Amino acid sequence: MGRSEERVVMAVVLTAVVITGGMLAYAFLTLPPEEGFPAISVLNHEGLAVSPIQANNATQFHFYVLVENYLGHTGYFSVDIWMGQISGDTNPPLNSCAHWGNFSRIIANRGEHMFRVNDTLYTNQTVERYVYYCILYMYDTSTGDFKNVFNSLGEMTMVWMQVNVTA
Amino acid sequence: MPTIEVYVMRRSSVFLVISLLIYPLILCSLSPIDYSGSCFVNKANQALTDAETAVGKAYEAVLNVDNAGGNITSLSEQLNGAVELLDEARRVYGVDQTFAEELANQAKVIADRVYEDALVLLAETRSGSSFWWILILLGVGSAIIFIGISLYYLWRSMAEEEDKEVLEMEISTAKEDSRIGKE
Repeated sequence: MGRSEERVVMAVVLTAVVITGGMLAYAFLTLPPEEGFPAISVLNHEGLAVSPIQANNATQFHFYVLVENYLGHTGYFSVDIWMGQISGDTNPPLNSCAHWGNFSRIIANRGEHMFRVNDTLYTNQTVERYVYYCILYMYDTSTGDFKNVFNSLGEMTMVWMQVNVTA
Repeated sequence: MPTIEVYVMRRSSVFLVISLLIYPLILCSLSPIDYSGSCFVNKANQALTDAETAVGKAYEAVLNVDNAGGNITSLSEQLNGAVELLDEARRVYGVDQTFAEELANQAKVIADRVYEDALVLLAETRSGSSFWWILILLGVGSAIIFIGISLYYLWRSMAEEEDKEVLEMEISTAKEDSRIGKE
Protein backbone atom coordinates (compact mmCIF):
# COMPACT_ATOMS: atom_id res chain seq x y z
CA MET A 1 0.00 0.00 0.00
CA GLY A 2 1.44 3.35 -1.05
CA ARG A 3 1.67 6.54 1.04
CA SER A 4 -1.38 8.13 -0.53
CA GLU A 5 -3.53 5.08 0.21
CA GLU A 6 -2.31 5.03 3.79
CA ARG A 7 -3.34 8.67 4.16
CA VAL A 8 -6.77 7.92 2.77
CA VAL A 9 -7.20 5.00 5.17
CA MET A 10 -6.05 7.15 8.08
CA ALA A 11 -8.50 9.91 7.10
CA VAL A 12 -11.35 7.42 6.89
CA VAL A 13 -10.50 5.84 10.22
CA LEU A 14 -10.13 9.23 11.95
CA THR A 15 -13.38 10.49 10.49
CA ALA A 16 -15.17 7.34 11.58
CA VAL A 17 -13.72 7.65 15.09
CA VAL A 18 -14.67 11.33 15.36
CA ILE A 19 -18.22 10.75 14.12
CA THR A 20 -18.80 7.70 16.30
CA GLY A 21 -17.37 9.53 19.32
CA GLY A 22 -19.54 12.57 18.64
CA MET A 23 -22.66 10.46 18.29
CA LEU A 24 -21.92 8.54 21.49
CA ALA A 25 -21.26 11.79 23.37
CA TYR A 26 -24.49 13.30 22.04
CA ALA A 27 -26.46 10.18 22.97
CA PHE A 28 -24.91 10.18 26.46
CA LEU A 29 -25.58 13.88 27.06
CA THR A 30 -29.17 13.69 25.89
CA LEU A 31 -30.05 10.56 27.84
CA PRO A 32 -33.31 11.01 29.73
CA PRO A 33 -32.61 11.24 33.47
CA GLU A 34 -33.32 8.15 35.46
CA GLU A 35 -36.83 8.19 36.82
CA GLY A 36 -37.47 7.64 40.47
CA PHE A 37 -39.79 8.60 43.25
CA PRO A 38 -40.13 11.82 45.19
CA ALA A 39 -39.14 11.62 48.83
CA ILE A 40 -40.45 13.33 51.95
CA SER A 41 -38.82 13.55 55.36
CA VAL A 42 -39.19 15.55 58.56
CA LEU A 43 -36.35 17.43 60.20
CA ASN A 44 -36.08 19.15 63.56
CA HIS A 45 -35.23 22.85 64.03
CA GLU A 46 -31.54 22.04 63.44
CA GLY A 47 -32.28 20.26 60.18
CA LEU A 48 -31.67 16.81 61.67
CA ALA A 49 -33.93 13.85 61.02
CA VAL A 50 -35.02 13.52 64.65
CA SER A 51 -38.42 12.61 66.03
CA PRO A 52 -39.86 13.31 68.58
CA ILE A 53 -39.03 16.93 69.19
CA GLN A 54 -39.61 18.79 72.44
CA ALA A 55 -41.77 21.90 72.82
CA ASN A 56 -42.83 24.05 75.76
CA ASN A 57 -46.36 25.03 76.66
CA ALA A 58 -47.58 28.13 74.78
CA THR A 59 -44.23 28.55 73.07
CA GLN A 60 -43.82 28.50 69.32
CA PHE A 61 -41.78 25.64 67.93
CA HIS A 62 -41.01 24.58 64.41
CA PHE A 63 -39.86 21.68 62.31
CA TYR A 64 -39.22 21.20 58.62
CA VAL A 65 -40.74 19.02 55.96
CA LEU A 66 -38.21 18.23 53.26
CA VAL A 67 -39.44 17.22 49.80
CA GLU A 68 -36.92 15.91 47.27
CA ASN A 69 -37.79 15.42 43.63
CA TYR A 70 -36.29 12.39 41.85
CA LEU A 71 -39.08 12.09 39.32
CA GLY A 72 -36.92 12.81 36.29
CA HIS A 73 -38.82 16.03 35.57
CA THR A 74 -40.12 19.12 37.34
CA GLY A 75 -42.96 18.35 39.74
CA TYR A 76 -45.71 20.32 41.44
CA PHE A 77 -45.93 18.97 44.98
CA SER A 78 -48.23 19.57 47.88
CA VAL A 79 -47.78 18.49 51.48
CA ASP A 80 -50.93 18.04 53.52
CA ILE A 81 -50.50 18.14 57.29
CA TRP A 82 -52.84 16.53 59.80
CA MET A 83 -52.41 16.75 63.54
CA GLY A 84 -53.62 14.48 66.30
CA GLN A 85 -52.96 13.73 69.94
CA ILE A 86 -51.28 10.51 70.95
CA SER A 87 -52.94 8.56 73.71
CA GLY A 88 -51.31 5.37 74.93
CA ASP A 89 -48.69 3.74 72.75
CA THR A 90 -50.25 4.11 69.34
CA ASN A 91 -50.51 7.06 67.05
CA PRO A 92 -54.01 8.30 66.31
CA PRO A 93 -55.53 7.10 63.03
CA LEU A 94 -55.38 9.66 60.24
CA ASN A 95 -59.15 10.02 60.03
CA SER A 96 -59.32 11.12 63.67
CA CYS A 97 -56.77 13.92 63.13
CA ALA A 98 -57.50 17.57 62.46
CA HIS A 99 -56.38 19.17 59.22
CA TRP A 100 -53.52 21.49 60.10
CA GLY A 101 -52.72 23.00 56.71
CA ASN A 102 -50.86 22.44 53.51
CA PHE A 103 -47.90 23.73 51.52
CA SER A 104 -47.26 23.57 47.80
CA ARG A 105 -44.19 24.03 45.67
CA ILE A 106 -42.91 23.45 42.16
CA ILE A 107 -39.60 21.61 42.47
CA ALA A 108 -37.16 21.02 39.63
CA ASN A 109 -35.83 17.55 38.92
CA ARG A 110 -33.20 16.57 41.51
CA GLY A 111 -34.23 19.64 43.46
CA GLU A 112 -35.54 19.88 47.01
CA HIS A 113 -37.53 22.24 49.19
CA MET A 114 -37.94 22.61 52.93
CA PHE A 115 -41.30 23.75 54.28
CA ARG A 116 -41.19 25.29 57.71
CA VAL A 117 -44.01 24.26 60.02
CA ASN A 118 -44.57 26.71 62.87
CA ASP A 119 -47.00 25.88 65.64
CA THR A 120 -47.76 26.53 69.29
CA LEU A 121 -49.28 23.95 71.60
CA TYR A 122 -50.92 24.43 74.96
CA THR A 123 -51.04 21.97 77.80
CA ASN A 124 -51.54 21.84 81.53
CA GLN A 125 -50.30 18.26 81.74
CA THR A 126 -46.73 17.23 82.53
CA VAL A 127 -46.26 15.93 79.01
CA GLU A 128 -48.64 15.68 76.09
CA ARG A 129 -47.69 14.03 72.85
CA TYR A 130 -48.89 15.12 69.44
CA VAL A 131 -48.25 13.79 65.97
CA TYR A 132 -48.12 15.70 62.70
CA TYR A 133 -48.75 13.51 59.65
CA CYS A 134 -47.26 14.94 56.47
CA ILE A 135 -48.72 13.42 53.30
CA LEU A 136 -47.16 14.07 49.93
CA TYR A 137 -49.30 14.81 46.88
CA MET A 138 -48.33 15.55 43.33
CA TYR A 139 -50.20 17.48 40.66
CA ASP A 140 -51.46 15.23 37.89
CA THR A 141 -51.68 17.13 34.60
CA SER A 142 -54.00 14.53 33.07
CA THR A 143 -56.70 15.03 35.68
CA GLY A 144 -55.86 18.56 36.81
CA ASP A 145 -55.73 17.79 40.51
CA PHE A 146 -53.36 16.53 43.21
CA LYS A 147 -52.90 12.79 43.67
CA ASN A 148 -51.25 10.73 46.39
CA VAL A 149 -47.65 9.78 45.71
CA PHE A 150 -46.79 6.11 46.07
CA ASN A 151 -43.34 4.64 46.60
CA SER A 152 -41.81 1.61 44.87
CA LEU A 153 -43.66 -0.69 47.28
CA GLY A 154 -46.99 0.92 46.41
CA GLU A 155 -47.26 2.64 49.80
CA MET A 156 -48.57 6.16 50.23
CA THR A 157 -45.66 8.57 50.68
CA MET A 158 -46.03 10.12 54.11
CA VAL A 159 -44.00 10.83 57.24
CA TRP A 160 -44.85 11.95 60.72
CA MET A 161 -43.27 14.12 63.36
CA GLN A 162 -43.97 13.58 67.04
CA VAL A 163 -43.98 16.63 69.31
CA ASN A 164 -43.80 16.25 73.10
CA VAL A 165 -45.18 19.32 74.84
CA THR A 166 -44.25 19.97 78.42
CA ALA A 167 -46.12 22.31 80.75
CA MET B 1 -113.65 56.49 40.34
CA PRO B 2 -110.74 55.50 42.58
CA THR B 3 -110.44 57.40 45.77
CA ILE B 4 -107.20 58.96 46.99
CA GLU B 5 -106.71 56.06 49.41
CA VAL B 6 -106.92 53.49 46.62
CA TYR B 7 -104.50 55.58 44.56
CA VAL B 8 -102.04 55.74 47.48
CA MET B 9 -102.40 52.02 48.06
CA ARG B 10 -101.74 51.28 44.41
CA ARG B 11 -98.67 53.52 44.47
CA SER B 12 -97.49 51.81 47.65
CA SER B 13 -97.92 48.33 46.22
CA VAL B 14 -96.02 49.31 43.06
CA PHE B 15 -93.25 50.71 45.27
CA LEU B 16 -93.26 47.53 47.35
CA VAL B 17 -93.01 45.30 44.31
CA ILE B 18 -90.13 47.36 42.88
CA SER B 19 -88.38 47.32 46.25
CA LEU B 20 -88.74 43.58 46.49
CA LEU B 21 -87.19 43.24 43.05
CA ILE B 22 -84.33 45.68 43.69
CA TYR B 23 -83.48 44.54 47.21
CA PRO B 24 -81.95 41.16 46.21
CA LEU B 25 -79.93 42.91 43.50
CA ILE B 26 -78.48 45.38 46.04
CA LEU B 27 -77.86 42.49 48.42
CA CYS B 28 -76.03 40.54 45.69
CA SER B 29 -73.78 43.43 44.79
CA LEU B 30 -72.79 44.07 48.43
CA SER B 31 -72.33 40.52 49.69
CA PRO B 32 -69.32 38.30 49.00
CA ILE B 33 -71.71 35.71 47.55
CA ASP B 34 -72.00 35.50 43.79
CA TYR B 35 -75.64 34.86 42.75
CA SER B 36 -74.95 35.00 39.03
CA GLY B 37 -74.87 31.21 38.57
CA SER B 38 -77.60 28.67 38.92
CA CYS B 39 -76.39 27.93 42.45
CA PHE B 40 -74.86 30.19 45.06
CA VAL B 41 -71.07 30.33 44.73
CA ASN B 42 -68.85 32.05 47.22
CA LYS B 43 -66.74 34.67 45.44
CA ALA B 44 -63.57 33.91 47.41
CA ASN B 45 -64.04 30.20 46.85
CA GLN B 46 -64.51 30.82 43.14
CA ALA B 47 -61.36 32.97 43.07
CA LEU B 48 -59.45 30.15 44.77
CA THR B 49 -60.73 27.61 42.25
CA ASP B 50 -59.85 29.91 39.34
CA ALA B 51 -56.36 30.52 40.73
CA GLU B 52 -55.81 26.76 41.27
CA THR B 53 -56.84 26.08 37.68
CA ALA B 54 -54.58 28.87 36.38
CA VAL B 55 -51.58 27.60 38.40
CA GLY B 56 -52.19 24.03 37.18
CA LYS B 57 -52.38 25.22 33.58
CA ALA B 58 -49.21 27.30 33.98
CA TYR B 59 -47.40 24.34 35.57
CA GLU B 60 -48.35 22.14 32.62
CA ALA B 61 -46.99 24.75 30.20
CA VAL B 62 -43.75 25.05 32.21
CA LEU B 63 -43.44 21.25 32.24
CA ASN B 64 -43.76 21.20 28.45
CA VAL B 65 -40.93 23.74 28.20
CA ASP B 66 -38.85 21.60 30.58
CA ASN B 67 -39.49 18.46 28.51
CA ALA B 68 -38.55 20.36 25.33
CA GLY B 69 -35.18 21.18 26.94
CA GLY B 70 -35.83 24.84 27.75
CA ASN B 71 -34.54 26.68 30.80
CA ILE B 72 -37.43 26.98 33.23
CA THR B 73 -35.62 28.43 36.26
CA SER B 74 -37.15 31.90 35.93
CA LEU B 75 -40.63 30.57 35.12
CA SER B 76 -40.53 28.17 38.08
CA GLU B 77 -39.55 30.97 40.46
CA GLN B 78 -42.40 33.16 39.23
CA LEU B 79 -44.88 30.31 39.39
CA ASN B 80 -43.76 29.46 42.91
CA GLY B 81 -44.66 33.05 43.81
CA ALA B 82 -48.19 32.33 42.62
CA VAL B 83 -48.20 28.99 44.49
CA GLU B 84 -47.19 30.73 47.73
CA LEU B 85 -49.95 33.33 47.31
CA LEU B 86 -52.44 30.55 46.70
CA ASP B 87 -51.29 28.71 49.84
CA GLU B 88 -51.67 31.93 51.82
CA ALA B 89 -55.14 32.49 50.32
CA ARG B 90 -56.19 29.01 51.45
CA ARG B 91 -54.82 29.72 54.94
CA VAL B 92 -56.68 33.01 55.39
CA TYR B 93 -59.87 31.81 53.69
CA GLY B 94 -61.52 30.83 56.97
CA VAL B 95 -60.59 34.14 58.61
CA ASP B 96 -60.82 36.85 55.96
CA GLN B 97 -62.54 35.88 52.72
CA THR B 98 -61.98 39.27 51.07
CA PHE B 99 -58.24 39.03 51.62
CA ALA B 100 -58.27 35.40 50.45
CA GLU B 101 -60.02 36.48 47.27
CA GLU B 102 -57.48 39.26 46.73
CA LEU B 103 -54.55 36.86 47.18
CA ALA B 104 -56.12 34.28 44.89
CA ASN B 105 -56.66 36.92 42.21
CA GLN B 106 -53.01 37.99 42.48
CA ALA B 107 -51.93 34.36 42.18
CA LYS B 108 -54.10 33.96 39.08
CA VAL B 109 -52.58 37.06 37.43
CA ILE B 110 -49.05 35.70 37.99
CA ALA B 111 -50.01 32.20 36.82
CA ASP B 112 -51.63 33.57 33.65
CA ARG B 113 -48.49 35.59 32.90
CA VAL B 114 -46.27 32.54 33.48
CA TYR B 115 -48.52 30.54 31.15
CA GLU B 116 -48.13 33.13 28.37
CA ASP B 117 -44.35 33.32 28.88
CA ALA B 118 -44.10 29.53 28.89
CA LEU B 119 -45.88 29.31 25.53
CA VAL B 120 -43.43 31.84 24.04
CA LEU B 121 -40.44 30.02 25.53
CA LEU B 122 -41.77 26.67 24.30
CA ALA B 123 -41.98 28.01 20.74
CA GLU B 124 -38.46 29.44 21.00
CA THR B 125 -37.07 26.21 22.46
CA ARG B 126 -38.68 24.10 19.76
CA SER B 127 -37.38 26.34 16.96
CA GLY B 128 -33.94 26.33 18.61
CA SER B 129 -33.90 22.57 18.92
CA SER B 130 -34.98 22.14 15.28
CA PHE B 131 -32.10 24.44 14.27
CA TRP B 132 -29.71 22.14 16.15
CA TRP B 133 -31.28 19.11 14.53
CA ILE B 134 -30.74 20.67 11.09
CA LEU B 135 -27.10 21.34 11.99
CA ILE B 136 -26.65 17.77 13.23
CA LEU B 137 -28.27 16.34 10.09
CA LEU B 138 -26.07 18.53 7.89
CA GLY B 139 -22.99 17.43 9.84
CA VAL B 140 -23.89 13.74 9.65
CA GLY B 141 -24.78 14.08 5.94
CA SER B 142 -21.44 15.78 5.16
CA ALA B 143 -19.57 13.13 7.13
CA ILE B 144 -21.32 10.31 5.24
CA ILE B 145 -20.52 11.97 1.88
CA PHE B 146 -16.89 12.47 2.99
CA ILE B 147 -16.55 8.85 4.08
CA GLY B 148 -18.15 7.69 0.82
CA ILE B 149 -15.71 9.72 -1.29
CA SER B 150 -12.78 8.55 0.83
CA LEU B 151 -13.85 4.91 0.49
CA TYR B 152 -14.24 5.38 -3.26
CA TYR B 153 -10.71 6.77 -3.58
CA LEU B 154 -9.36 4.05 -1.30
CA TRP B 155 -11.06 1.38 -3.39
CA ARG B 156 -9.75 3.03 -6.60
CA SER B 157 -6.16 3.30 -5.34
CA MET B 158 -6.25 -0.31 -4.12
CA ALA B 159 -7.63 -1.44 -7.48
CA GLU B 160 -4.91 0.54 -9.28
CA GLU B 161 -2.31 -1.03 -7.00
CA GLU B 162 -3.68 -4.47 -7.83
CA ASP B 163 -3.73 -3.70 -11.56
CA LYS B 164 -0.15 -2.46 -11.27
CA GLU B 165 0.92 -5.66 -9.51
CA VAL B 166 -0.84 -7.80 -12.16
CA LEU B 167 0.76 -5.74 -14.91
CA GLU B 168 4.20 -6.04 -13.33
CA MET B 169 3.65 -9.78 -12.94
CA GLU B 170 2.59 -10.06 -16.57
CA ILE B 171 5.63 -8.02 -17.69
CA SER B 172 7.97 -10.17 -15.63
CA THR B 173 6.29 -13.32 -16.98
CA ALA B 174 6.61 -11.99 -20.54
CA LYS B 175 10.25 -11.13 -19.89
CA GLU B 176 10.81 -14.56 -18.47
CA ASP B 177 9.05 -16.12 -21.47
CA SER B 178 11.11 -14.09 -23.94
CA ARG B 179 14.31 -14.99 -22.05
CA ILE B 180 13.41 -18.69 -22.20
CA GLY B 181 12.51 -18.27 -25.93
CA LYS B 182 15.90 -16.69 -26.64
CA GLU B 183 17.68 -19.46 -24.82
